[in-house]
Amino acid sequence: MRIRTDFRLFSSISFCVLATLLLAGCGGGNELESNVETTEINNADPNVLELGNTVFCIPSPVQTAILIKDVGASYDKALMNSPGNHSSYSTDFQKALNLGVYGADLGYSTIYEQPQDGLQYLKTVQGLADDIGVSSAFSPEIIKRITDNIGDQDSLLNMVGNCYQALNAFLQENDRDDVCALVLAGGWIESTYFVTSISGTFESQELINRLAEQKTTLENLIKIIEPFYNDPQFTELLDEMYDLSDDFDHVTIEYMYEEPTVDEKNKKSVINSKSKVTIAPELISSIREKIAILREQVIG
Amino acid sequence: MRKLLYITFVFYGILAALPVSAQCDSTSSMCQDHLGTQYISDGQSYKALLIGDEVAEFNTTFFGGSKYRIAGCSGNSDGNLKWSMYDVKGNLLYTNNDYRNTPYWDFEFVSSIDITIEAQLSSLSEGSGCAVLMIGFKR
Repeated sequence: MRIRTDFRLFSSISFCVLATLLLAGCGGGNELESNVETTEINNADPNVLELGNTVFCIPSPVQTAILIKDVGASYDKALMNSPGNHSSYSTDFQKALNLGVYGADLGYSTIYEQPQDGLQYLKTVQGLADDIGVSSAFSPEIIKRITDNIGDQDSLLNMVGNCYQALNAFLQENDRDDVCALVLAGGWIESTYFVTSISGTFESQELINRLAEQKTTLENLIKIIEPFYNDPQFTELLDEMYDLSDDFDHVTIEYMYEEPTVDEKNKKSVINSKSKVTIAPELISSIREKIAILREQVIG
Repeated sequence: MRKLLYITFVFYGILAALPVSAQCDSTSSMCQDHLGTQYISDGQSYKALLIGDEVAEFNTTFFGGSKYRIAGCSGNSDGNLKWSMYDVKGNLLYTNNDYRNTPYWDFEFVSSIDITIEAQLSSLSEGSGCAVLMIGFKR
């Protein structure tokens, strides 16, 4: 039998088993029986399985920053969220979202080789990670290593990527998928804001295409956040994203399969399939406006 | 008797879960090595406990003009995880099963496309194990 499972299901099952162990260790015989029954119910809970028969992956905001630089757009500090806003975020919801926003800003300033700005954003990210209890991902030792490599862009991007990987792993293992989803959402909103803002003044078909290609990423992001819809903070965020997604529904993506080319010696394949996106100018304006409003709500 | 069965269930459940949890860390570390330093991590971590022929699936978009490395690992040695990549029409674009379940492969995308990757334990692996998938990119 072929069964699909969720990558995150592992942590849920482990949590249930470990929770059962801890509870069993604290209780008497009757309580143990009761706890085991609870575990069985949890495992059968459709919500656990619904958390994802599939995993939806959101591309790194750094990739968008790379494209922005490659098309020749100038560095614009005003595009980023000011590090000074950090102290105004009082709830974990705001902090998690802006941890994603500042992560995208860190990537953008690093790609443009702006070490002073990068350091400022790194400290801001570290502060927010501390605030929401995931300081281990940005420990003083790691920050020092990053600071020491500030002139080496590739090393820096690698280390920052690894930090976010550690952060996401920690959040998933500690059953904090809600925070993990918000970090991803913040990063996506900020990097999409870069594209919509820049494409308003800088002519680039590649940027327009990249914006249109966000259609699937937004759909995936919504699927990640939807399980938390009943939390009023998430409701507002998701309603805005649904509205944005309605716009993206008018983007057309035409896909044409072509045989991949394989270079076995170098363990490499070129995926030759092509896609063609079509997005109307008025749709770009509408998305631009909605992203700006959403981003403003996030950064405050 | 019922209580004894429950205790036995919990005991074996814990025995099964704890080594896998520890194994996930070492598998992640091994996979990170395969990703190398030339590729920038996408900042996310994908893990699954797979039993038997269970399949883990994830969906993503790969951007045109970008180069990627995908590393897939399970257990403590290479070749324990087989994974395959499909396009939106279900065409098979790549499977590591054609290359002795190699733990990593590089990809270049001519155009941005949506992809589904399916991963499952190989016949070489034990009955269950922690599957780890990592994605790195470079310019």
